[in-house]
Amino acid sequence: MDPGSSGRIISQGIGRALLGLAALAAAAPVAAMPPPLRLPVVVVSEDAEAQALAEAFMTYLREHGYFARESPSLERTALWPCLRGKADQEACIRKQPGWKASSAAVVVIVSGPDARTWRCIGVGAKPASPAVQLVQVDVKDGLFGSAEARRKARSTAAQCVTAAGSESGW
Amino acid sequence: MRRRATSLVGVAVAAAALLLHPADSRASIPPSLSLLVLSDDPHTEALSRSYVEFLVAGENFLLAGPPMPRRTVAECLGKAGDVVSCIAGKVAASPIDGRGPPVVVLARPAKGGISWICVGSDPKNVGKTSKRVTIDLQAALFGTALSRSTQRTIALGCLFGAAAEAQGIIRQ
Repeated sequence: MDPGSSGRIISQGIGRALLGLAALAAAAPVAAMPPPLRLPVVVVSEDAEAQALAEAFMTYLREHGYFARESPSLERTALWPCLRGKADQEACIRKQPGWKASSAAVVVIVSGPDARTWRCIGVGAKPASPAVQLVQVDVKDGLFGSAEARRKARSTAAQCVTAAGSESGW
Repeated sequence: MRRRATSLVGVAVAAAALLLHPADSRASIPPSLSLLVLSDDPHTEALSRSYVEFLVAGENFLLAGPPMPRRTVAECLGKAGDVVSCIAGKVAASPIDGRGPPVVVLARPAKGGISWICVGSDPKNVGKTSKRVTIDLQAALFGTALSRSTQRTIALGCLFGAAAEAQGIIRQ
């Protein structure tokens, strides 16, 4: 086995372990968990209200210990050209070099009817876990729904962000 | 309608006070607040901080970081007596620097939403009713444009009213 591939395997193993921790964080009481992952996250949307709402929900997740958000190293405005009139916003953002200086940075594109579609993008060339990085998040349920609805919305959003963070190999 | 117009004027006046008579020459547009939100109920605190983030994302004001560590103010929650006066004493004693006027929001669960008591630098203003508000968060985040605007006006009136207390007081 060459050193590069063994490094990749170790990195993937760590990534899976951290994803597992994120899944546990979604299910277990916060007090029993290790310190949350520190992730610089920025939310972008063509709809300013939807963007503000998703930022608010991100704060809510952080307050509940799903992850700790570091200040993003990128200016949101640098991503606007990718949002406006682009057929493939994700590919455009993945090609933008500026925001990838921070190793585990995450960009979340919020779009769709009722702004429920979250696309979580990490620093890799492609999604680490495509199924959890393009999800439907009902923020209203996440804040004001039943206990089960809140848990489901928080868990879906947190896994989306954490999976994108894992693209860095941590 | 008249009450709504009055509160809109109130927010505008408070915001203008922050901009026209800044505590420091580095005052910005939108104004910058040194803000701490706390509650003895974790869910209410999380919701309140989320709404603050919503207001910041909407460019209503900038967050300059808390005026003091949470634990400093949290001591007041566990004490018998007037919690708000205790917090007011802490805020009045905190330095006013170039980051923005200090404001502490004491959040509590309330019927129809959350209640905020916004505490600024002048302990004489603790009892002001304009700084004790109830915010319907569902309407604030998911309501019609009018109800979102109404709730935002209520919240900003509370925050800017408390922030304006720092005008003319420079302590380092």
